[in-house]
Amino acid sequence: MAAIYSLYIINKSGGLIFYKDCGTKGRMDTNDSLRVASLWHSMHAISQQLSPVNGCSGIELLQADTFDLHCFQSLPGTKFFVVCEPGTPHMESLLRYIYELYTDFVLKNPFYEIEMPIRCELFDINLTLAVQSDRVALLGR
Amino acid sequence: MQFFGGSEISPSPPVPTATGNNAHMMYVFNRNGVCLLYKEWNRPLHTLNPQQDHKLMFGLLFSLKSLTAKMDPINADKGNLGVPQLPGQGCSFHSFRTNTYKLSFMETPSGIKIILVTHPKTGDLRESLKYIYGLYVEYVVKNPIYSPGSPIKSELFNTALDQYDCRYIRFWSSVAIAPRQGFIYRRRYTLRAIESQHCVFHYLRGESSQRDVSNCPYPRMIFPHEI
Repeated sequence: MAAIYSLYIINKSGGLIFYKDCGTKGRMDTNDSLRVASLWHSMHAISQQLSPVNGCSGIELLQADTFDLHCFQSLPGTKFFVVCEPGTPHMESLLRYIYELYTDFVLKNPFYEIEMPIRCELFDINLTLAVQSDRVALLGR
Repeated sequence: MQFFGGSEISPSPPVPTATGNNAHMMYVFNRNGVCLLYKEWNRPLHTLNPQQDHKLMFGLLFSLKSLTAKMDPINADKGNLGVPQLPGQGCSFHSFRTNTYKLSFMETPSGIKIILVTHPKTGDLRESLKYIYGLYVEYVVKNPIYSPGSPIKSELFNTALDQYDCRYIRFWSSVAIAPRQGFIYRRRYTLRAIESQHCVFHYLRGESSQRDVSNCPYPRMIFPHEI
């Protein structure tokens, strides 16, 4: 069973607009999650500069000792990244599905201000359902 | 693998991965950020000048290490973001992949960082990096003339790297690309050179590399027997 530790959504300027932490030990407070998100936004941009060939669109997968980080960047520049167990399969399709949920429940919400933190209940509910489906499991619940 | 001194370097070179590696470039940094070695085999795009490129690469790796140490979901006690970590302290990443390249990273306890930039479909290169560190220890550290912290100028080290890469890391064009400095080769190799606008293409023609050339699935620029 695959396990997701956390999910971040960053707007195109690098600010964190959504953060969901499912882990138990590795919890970060709000300030740290904001800093980590901005740092990731910059690293994503710098990695494009170091590419040996043209057409680099930034880091898609970062593999560390204890976790993997999958990142998906949409066309407008919104980044979705998920921290999961090493070797978790199907993370790219999960990220694309989360992007669909984002467009359906956040962008189409007339009260949602673009680039602002996401406070949409339906998005949270559907996200929890997606993450709790039989492909992936929440850690610590 | 032929070694000039006759000493055995352990571990033995790892078996090549099935997908085939294509090395673009390689960096070696020490703990202070000095670029000890930069080797380029295939780099069509140069965004920055070499000094800025090295600094940017080192800065990116430093920040990514700091990020992974902070984001570690397993360890409860983590330092603050941006605090320099000792080599080996905290969770560290070993590779990241973009759509155009894959960067594999290894840091030794002495702070030596070895970076390989390859094709995105490359497999896990941790064993290769350990092997390259073994080469570094044999040819650079054990060299009495080498002063730590200065750029590596050892020709034996460069030749051993090219030899290793010819055998196990395939190239886009099936021809080894080296920067414009001269190399002194052992008599077992003959040297063919083709001038291009960017660099001189050296083809190391020896027993091992000839086998790889015929197996290379990528479009060929030129083969030595066609010269």
